[in-house]
Amino acid sequence: MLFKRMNKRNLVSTLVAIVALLAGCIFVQNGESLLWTKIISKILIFSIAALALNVVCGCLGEFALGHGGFLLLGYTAAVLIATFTKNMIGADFYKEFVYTTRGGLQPLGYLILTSDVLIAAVITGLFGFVVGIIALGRLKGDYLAIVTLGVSLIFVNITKNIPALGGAQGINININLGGSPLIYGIMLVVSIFLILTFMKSRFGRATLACRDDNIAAEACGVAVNKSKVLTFTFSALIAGLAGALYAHFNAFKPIEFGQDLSIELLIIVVLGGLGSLTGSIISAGIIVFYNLWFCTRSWVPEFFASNPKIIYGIILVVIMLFRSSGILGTAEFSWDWFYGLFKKLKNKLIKNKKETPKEVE
Amino acid sequence: MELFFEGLKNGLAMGSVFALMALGYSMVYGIVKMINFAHSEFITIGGFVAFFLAALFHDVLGWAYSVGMLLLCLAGAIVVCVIIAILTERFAYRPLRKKGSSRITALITAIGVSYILNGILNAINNKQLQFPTFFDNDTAFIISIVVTAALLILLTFFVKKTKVGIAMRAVSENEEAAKLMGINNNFIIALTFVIGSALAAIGVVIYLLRVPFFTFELGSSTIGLYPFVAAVIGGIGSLPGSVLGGFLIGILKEFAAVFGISAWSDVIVYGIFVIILLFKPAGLLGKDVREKV
Repeated sequence: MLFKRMNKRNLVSTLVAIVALLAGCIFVQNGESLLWTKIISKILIFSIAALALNVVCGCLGEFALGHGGFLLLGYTAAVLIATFTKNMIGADFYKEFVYTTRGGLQPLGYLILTSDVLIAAVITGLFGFVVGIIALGRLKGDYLAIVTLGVSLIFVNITKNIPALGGAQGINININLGGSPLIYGIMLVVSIFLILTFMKSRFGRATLACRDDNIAAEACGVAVNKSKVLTFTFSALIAGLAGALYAHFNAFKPIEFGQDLSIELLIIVVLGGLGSLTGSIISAGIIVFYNLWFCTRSWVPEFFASNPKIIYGIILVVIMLFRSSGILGTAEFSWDWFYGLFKKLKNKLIKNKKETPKEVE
Repeated sequence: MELFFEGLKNGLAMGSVFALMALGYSMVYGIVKMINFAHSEFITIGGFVAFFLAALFHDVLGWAYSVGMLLLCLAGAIVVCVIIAILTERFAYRPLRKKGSSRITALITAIGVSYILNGILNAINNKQLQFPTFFDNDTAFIISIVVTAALLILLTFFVKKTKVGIAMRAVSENEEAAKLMGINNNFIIALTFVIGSALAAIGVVIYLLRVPFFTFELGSSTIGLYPFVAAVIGGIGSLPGSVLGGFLIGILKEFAAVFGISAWSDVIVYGIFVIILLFKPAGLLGKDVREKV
């Protein structure tokens, strides 16, 4: 449905871009540098998480502070499912057919991992549905923000207190940690596709109408609550996907999914521009790159590495004061714009060529 | 039964601290409709200043611990908190108000300010600190109750009866109309921040009398969102509501601690918070404002 709208040039360009992204992922995955595998993996996962938050903040127009909690749900569900599958089919089989010796994945591994991640995402979506039904109908604005934050802290504390769900130390998959960017890349493409399809669908357009004017939308016969809850559920599902991928990336404690992670995601979304999916991906890249690459360089003063909060705070305040729409505002990347750039460049070059001789004369 | 009374006593003491801090959140929200996330950092700053002043007086000047010294520390904490609150309001929040930014923008700025302040506190000292003992537990308990009650009465009188208090309520009711009546909005809003941060400083010093150990995460993590949750439960913008919410949260938390389920106290507090908001979205004592087309 999404592809039908595109003309041939844009379709080909999109496919080329996807293939290039996945090829890049494979290249990084097979490369020697562990740091770059880590950086690329985290950028891809954070992009997915930021896209999920952007669906709520940008497209729904409400403010959720608790997406860390949904990431935690996805993480926990993915770990539990993976452990369950491992016990079902036996650890030896798992070692032999699922993973390669280097910790990468075999074809069967991709199948298992994908289904694991998708099931975890659906479970998180169900939780998001419950939270959405409870909270979105009655609350909005600041209250909704605080309630989502409270709910995420409830998730974190429950996980922390029940040993089977992780306890204070958390649970992890225990094998093949360290990241396989290819699967994250595929999932990023899948989630972008899902989000675009969703936003172009009836419910997506209804959601945008609610964001722009709640009362007018209601007067036009839009089921405001229904579309809001649906969008929130969808956002939770994507966040759960990111969390599930996080489980295959590294081991985390429940407490790491608290307030700070939620706010870090918020910083990414705000920096990129509320409502701009491209912006979220770009700024996820910037923030992760800053954290994992810039701060670990030896020539960077220790101040930056030990005080990430000051930097984050300054970013937030400065953006809000001077460019409250973020880097991209609500603009999206589009191929028409991209090729338009070439055309402009070409026109400029032609003009310059025509103009230069005149000046000589 | 003994456990019950111990829980009640600790809960009342803790609740009065939360109530004082909740008043700051509540007043600021009532007037500028913004969750002042930086309030939690004002709390920590108050604790830091009181601690370092006490250390200065005792270790450098060689004074003995006394009530007078505590009052000096408290005064110092209040002054620093107030200055930082004024600076924050002047340089972060007022430009936003001038531009007429959305409420989400204000909320994000508040988060940003709180991050900056927290980062600075972390850079200053990230070890665990211990506030000196001034009183035994019972005296501290009585002090926290008495101070909270006195401040609440004073504040209610101030808001209901004095000219500035009436102006404050006018701004919170309708900013534009208040401006037309000749009220200096910026002054009133700054004053609200001043009162809120002073209450935060008083609250944290009382808190430290009973729970002396703290770190730079006191406001952002140890006390955390409790005061804000208290303000919302009671009905944000309502003074008695904040106090009620504060005592409710404090008692819940301390009961959980006394009965040995303190690990679950967050779940209980936030769970009750969510439930209350669902049935009374404006809080227990808040006014329900209908949206007009």
